[in-house]
Amino acid sequence: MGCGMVKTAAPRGKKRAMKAALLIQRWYRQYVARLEMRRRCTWNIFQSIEYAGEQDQIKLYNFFGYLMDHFTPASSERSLISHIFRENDVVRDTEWERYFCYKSIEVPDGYHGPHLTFPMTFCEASKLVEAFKHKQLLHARYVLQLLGEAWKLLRILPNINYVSTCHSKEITICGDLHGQLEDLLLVFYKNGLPSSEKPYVWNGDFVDRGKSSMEILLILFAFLLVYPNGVHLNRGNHEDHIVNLRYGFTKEVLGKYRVHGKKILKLLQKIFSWLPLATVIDGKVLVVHGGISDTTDLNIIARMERHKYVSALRPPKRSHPSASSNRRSLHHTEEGEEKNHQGTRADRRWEACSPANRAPGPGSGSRHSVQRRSIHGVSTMSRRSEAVEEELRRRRQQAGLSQSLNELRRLVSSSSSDDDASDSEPQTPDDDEWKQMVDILWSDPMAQDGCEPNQVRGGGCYWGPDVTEEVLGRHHLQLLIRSHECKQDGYEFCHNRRVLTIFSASNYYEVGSNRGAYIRMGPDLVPHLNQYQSSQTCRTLTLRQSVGRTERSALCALREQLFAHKSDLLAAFQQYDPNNTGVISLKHWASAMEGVLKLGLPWRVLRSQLGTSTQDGRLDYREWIQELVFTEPKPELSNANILETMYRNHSNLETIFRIIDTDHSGLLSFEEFRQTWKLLSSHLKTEIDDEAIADLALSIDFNKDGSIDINEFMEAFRLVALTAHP
Amino acid sequence: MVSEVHKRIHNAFQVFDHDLNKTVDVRFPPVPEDMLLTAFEVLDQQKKGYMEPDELTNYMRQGDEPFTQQEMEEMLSSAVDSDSNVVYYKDFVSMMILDGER
Repeated sequence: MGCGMVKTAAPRGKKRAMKAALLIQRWYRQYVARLEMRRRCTWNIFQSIEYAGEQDQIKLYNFFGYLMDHFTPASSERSLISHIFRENDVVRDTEWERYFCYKSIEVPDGYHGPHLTFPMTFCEASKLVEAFKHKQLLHARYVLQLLGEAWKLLRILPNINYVSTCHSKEITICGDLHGQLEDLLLVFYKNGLPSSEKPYVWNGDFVDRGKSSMEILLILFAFLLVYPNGVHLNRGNHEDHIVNLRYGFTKEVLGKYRVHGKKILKLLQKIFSWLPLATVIDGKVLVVHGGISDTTDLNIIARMERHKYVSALRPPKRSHPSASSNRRSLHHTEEGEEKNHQGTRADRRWEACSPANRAPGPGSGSRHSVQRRSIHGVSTMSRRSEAVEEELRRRRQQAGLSQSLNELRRLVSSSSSDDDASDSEPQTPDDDEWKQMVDILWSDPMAQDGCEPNQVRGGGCYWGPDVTEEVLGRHHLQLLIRSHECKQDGYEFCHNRRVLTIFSASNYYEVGSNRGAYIRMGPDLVPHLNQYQSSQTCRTLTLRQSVGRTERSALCALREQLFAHKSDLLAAFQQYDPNNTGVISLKHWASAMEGVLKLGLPWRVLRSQLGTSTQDGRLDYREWIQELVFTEPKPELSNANILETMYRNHSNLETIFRIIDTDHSGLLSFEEFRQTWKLLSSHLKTEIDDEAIADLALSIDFNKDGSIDINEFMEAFRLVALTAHP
Repeated sequence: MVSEVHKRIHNAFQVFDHDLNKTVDVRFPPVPEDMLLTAFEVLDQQKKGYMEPDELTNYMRQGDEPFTQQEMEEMLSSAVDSDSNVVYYKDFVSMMILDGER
C-alpha cells in the first residue's frame, strides 16, 4: 500500500514534471520569438514613415526647383520661392565678417550662463559641456563668436580628412546624434572628452529631431577649436538648411534665440557647406555619412569646391554665361509675351492639354489674371501626356536625382527655337560633382548586388556588396564606416563585414527602441563596438514592456497616416467592391492599403492591431474606416477635403511657411498664406478654390489681427487619438 | 505544371504561417493555454497556486536546452509579482496569452 505506491509514483512524477518544464520552456521561447517579430514589424513602421517623410521633402524641393527653372510665376510668387535658392557666394568674405560681428552684442548682467574667452582652451570647452549639462543656454554673443571661429577653421580644412592612428593609438568614431545631448554626454562619460590623445570622428547628422542640436554643435565646434587635429567632423544630410526647415533645427534655433536666431542660422548655413565630406583613417578606412555609389570617386570629391553646395538638394547655378543669359531671358519676358510663351510651349509639348489652348480671361492686362494664368500653366504642364511622363520617369530612374533637372531642361528647351543651345549640353562637371556629394550623404546599402537610385529616400543610391568591393578595391581601402540609418543595437555590419553602420542616438524612435553605439579603433583597424542607452527608465523596462511601448507608439503614428488618407483609402476599397456590399476580402484590403500608403508594410499582420475583426477573411471596410477615431483638429471646416489634404501635408505646409516667413517672425499675412496654399495645391495637382482658402484663413486667424501664427496653426494639427481600445 | 506544384507548396506552408508574414517558425510550435496551465500545476506540487522564483528557475534550467541566464532573468522580470516576490502562474499565463493574441 505505502512504500510500493511511493516507489512507482516518484519516477513517474519526475517524468511528468520534466515534460511540464519542457513545455513551459518551449512556450516561453515561442513567445519571445513572436515578440521579436513584432519588434521588427514596429521598426519597419517607424522607418517607413520616416523615409516617406524624407522623400516627401525632396519631392517638394524638386518641385520648387522645377518652378524656378522652367516657369515664370508672377513676381510675388517668384520672390517666395527664390528665398530658398538665394545664393550667398557672391558676397565677399570681409562683408560676411562684418555681418556676423558679435562685438556689438551686449551680455546683460542678469545672464547666468557660461562666459567664453578666446582662444578656446580645453578648460573652456569642458566648462561649456558642464553648463549644458545643467541646461544653461549660451548667450548669442558667444554663440556667434564661437561659430565665427569655427567657420574660419573649417574653411581651411580639405574635403577629405586624412587621419592616422599612430599618434594616439586609438580613435573613436560616432554616428548620428540628432540633437540628443544626453547621448553625447553618455559617450563622453564612458569614453572621455576629446583631446589630441583621444581623437574623435563625428559622422554627420548632429542636428534635427532632438531638442539640443544647438548645444551639440557648440560642443563639437568648441573641441574642434581646441584640438583641430583631434576632432574630425563629416557633413551629414541633415547639415543642410533646407532639411532643417522641416526637421526642427530651424525651429529650435529661432525658439532659443529670438533676437539673433536669424543671423545664427545664416552663419550656420555657411558653416554646414564648409564641413568636410569624408574622413580616411590610415589610408584604409573610409568614414562618410551616407555611403557610396558605383560612381563614387574620392579624387573628384577631394577636388571639388564643397562650399558651393550650400544644400545638397540643389545643384549650384551653372557658371556658363550663356546659361545665365538664358535664365535672364526667361525672367524678363514681357507680361504679354509671357502669355504667348506659355501657350506655345504647352501647344508644342503636350497633346492632351485642352485648357491650355483657351484664350486668357477678361482683364488680361491686370496682375490678377496673370497670376491665375501662371498657376494654370503649371497644372496644364502637370497634365502632360502619359508618354512624356513615362519617359521622364524612366530617365530619372536611370540616372538618379542629378539628371532629372537636366532632363526637364532639355525637354523643355528642345522644342523652342529661342532657347539657348547650351541647355542641351551633356552633364557638366558641376552636375557630376553634385551627384558625388548626394551619393555620399544620402545612400543606403542593400543586400543584392548592383546600384539603384534610392527611391525611398528620394536621393542617393542603394548600393550592393559588389559595389562595396569595387569601390573599396579601387581606392585600396578595407572598410567603409557610415551612419544615416538607425539600428536596434546601435551598429550593424553588412556586405561581408566590409560595411559598418554606426548610429549614436539611442531611443531614436521611442524610449526603449534602440541602443546607441560608438567605435574604438586602434592601429590594427579592428573596430570595437561600445553600446549604451540613455535614460534610467528604459534600462529597467523588460523586453516585453519596451517592445509594447514602442509598438503602441508606432501604431499611433501609423493610425495618423491612415486617418490622413481616409478618402483615398475609401476610394481604393470601393474599387474592389463594385457591387457596393461594403465588404471586401483581406487580400484586397491589404492591396488597397499598400496602393494608397506605399509604406511597404505587412498589412495583414498589422490588421488585427489596427482594429477590426473579420468574418471568413472578409472585412467591413466602411466600419473599419469609421473606427479610426481621432478628434478633429481645431479649424472646423465644412470642407472636410481641404482639412484632410492639409493634415496629410502638414509637414510640407510647415516647411513652406517657414521658407516664406523671411523675417522669422512666426507670422504670415493672409496673402502669404493664400499663396502658400496655391503653391502646395499645384504641387499636389489638386484644385482648391480661392473662396475656400479665404474662409480657412479667416477661421484660423485666432487673434483676429489679419495675420496667422504659424506655430498656432501647426499646433491645431496635432490630432488627439481617442483610444477605442485601452 | 511547375507553377501548380509551387502553388501547392505555397498553400501547404501557409497552414503554418500563423502570423501571415510569409515566414514559418520551425523552432517553437504553439502551446495551447490549458496545457500550459496544467504544466504549471504539475510543477506546483504543493498546490500553492504560486511558485517561488527559485523553484521556477530550477525547472527552467533542466532539459537538453536549459534557459540561459539572460532568458531566466527576462522571464522572471515579467513573471514575478513585485509585492509578494512569487510567481502567480495563472495570472502570468493569462497575461502572456493576451499579449500573444495581439
